[in-house]
Amino acid sequence: MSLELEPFWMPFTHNRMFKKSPRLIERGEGMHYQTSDGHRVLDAISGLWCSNAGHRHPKIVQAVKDQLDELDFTAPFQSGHPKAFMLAEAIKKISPAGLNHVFLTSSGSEACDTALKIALAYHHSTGEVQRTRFVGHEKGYHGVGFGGISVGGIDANKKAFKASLLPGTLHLPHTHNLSKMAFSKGQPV
Amino acid sequence: MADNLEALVDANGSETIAGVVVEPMQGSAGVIVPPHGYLKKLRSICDAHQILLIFDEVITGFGRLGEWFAADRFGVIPDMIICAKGVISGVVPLGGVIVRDSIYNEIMVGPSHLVEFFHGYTNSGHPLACAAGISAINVYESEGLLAKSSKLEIELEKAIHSLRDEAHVVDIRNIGMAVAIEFETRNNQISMRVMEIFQYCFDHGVMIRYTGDIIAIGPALVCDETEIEAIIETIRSAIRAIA
Repeated sequence: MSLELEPFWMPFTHNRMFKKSPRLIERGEGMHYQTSDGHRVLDAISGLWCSNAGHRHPKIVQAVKDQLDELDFTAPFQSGHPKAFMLAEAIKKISPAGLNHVFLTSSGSEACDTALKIALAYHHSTGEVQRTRFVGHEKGYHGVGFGGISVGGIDANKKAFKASLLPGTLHLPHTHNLSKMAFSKGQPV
Repeated sequence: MADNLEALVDANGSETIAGVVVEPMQGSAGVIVPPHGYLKKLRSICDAHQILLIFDEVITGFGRLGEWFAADRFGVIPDMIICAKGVISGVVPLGGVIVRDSIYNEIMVGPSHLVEFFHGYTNSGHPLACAAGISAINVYESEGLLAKSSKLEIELEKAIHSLRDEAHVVDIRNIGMAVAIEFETRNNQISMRVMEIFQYCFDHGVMIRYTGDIIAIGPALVCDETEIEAIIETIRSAIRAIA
């Protein structure tokens, strides 16, 4: 197959090395992928910690196909469609007690930045307008928005952007102590 | 360790801090599992200082730790939960913030004909994503995948810790269906060894993840024991084949 690789800027990837020797996944089902050259690969990482029900679970596939036969897209502002409310209710039902409202986004990165804005809006509303700082963890990962990398603690993700991060963000040390915790099973003591 | 939060609060003034954002288990950094009591302590310090506690459960949510959320697994309820990934089983992009009533109610103020919170995305609540999410949650429930995940965790723990004595392994960390193996850096070249392990595994039919000097695996909840064995043995062969 002749595929032009150069125009696509791949995320979190060594673009130059990858494009010299690409690994392309074309198909997926259950626990397995099939590559462009026909090899079967066992997916040991659920895609990217995502595909908890395996790839192309038939019920989920059918639900998306059915939805495409009904409505593809509608304005999310000042208008609604039933599935958004049904999803929010389904999430509410399985969430811890007291957490009963759901704001939807397209990704974890967006969800993190949304959470930070909700926190600021909350304190603004209570009158505590001076509450503007956030605390994250060293080695924390909260997506790649400006908010997410500010509270995140992975230096490679922030290095080029330090002058533009949220002001006053603090970081807790991470909890991993190799000398005391090596080879712990489950939660370390 | 959670006393570090108290120290930060004392040094910087609790009245300036809006929120603490943590992954209950740090996934991207290589499955860093919280010590016993750590999250409870963060909760109580946040409560004492009216600081919001936000759990980033993008990786830990929707069955990865054998429960709907790490909040359930660790018995600590935050003020907000950030989620994505597992909520739609990766099928159509979606993320969410699950919010405590008191936060929502505090923002739902002012003249009712005006927008309360000036924020939102074109794709917030996209029909396809919602259909996928409703179905995914239904699948997790109807197929008992959370309970399955709890059972598989035991097998996965046993299997992954069998790699402990392999060359260059300095740590193995696991919880739920999330595992990381940390290696010694080779010749001061971060990631070189694990990149080669990744490539070997891929060439031999298994896709893992690597970051820094760590490899991570997080099989789907529909995995079975023979697949866990195949993953571990491929990693073992990779470690033995790579210097």
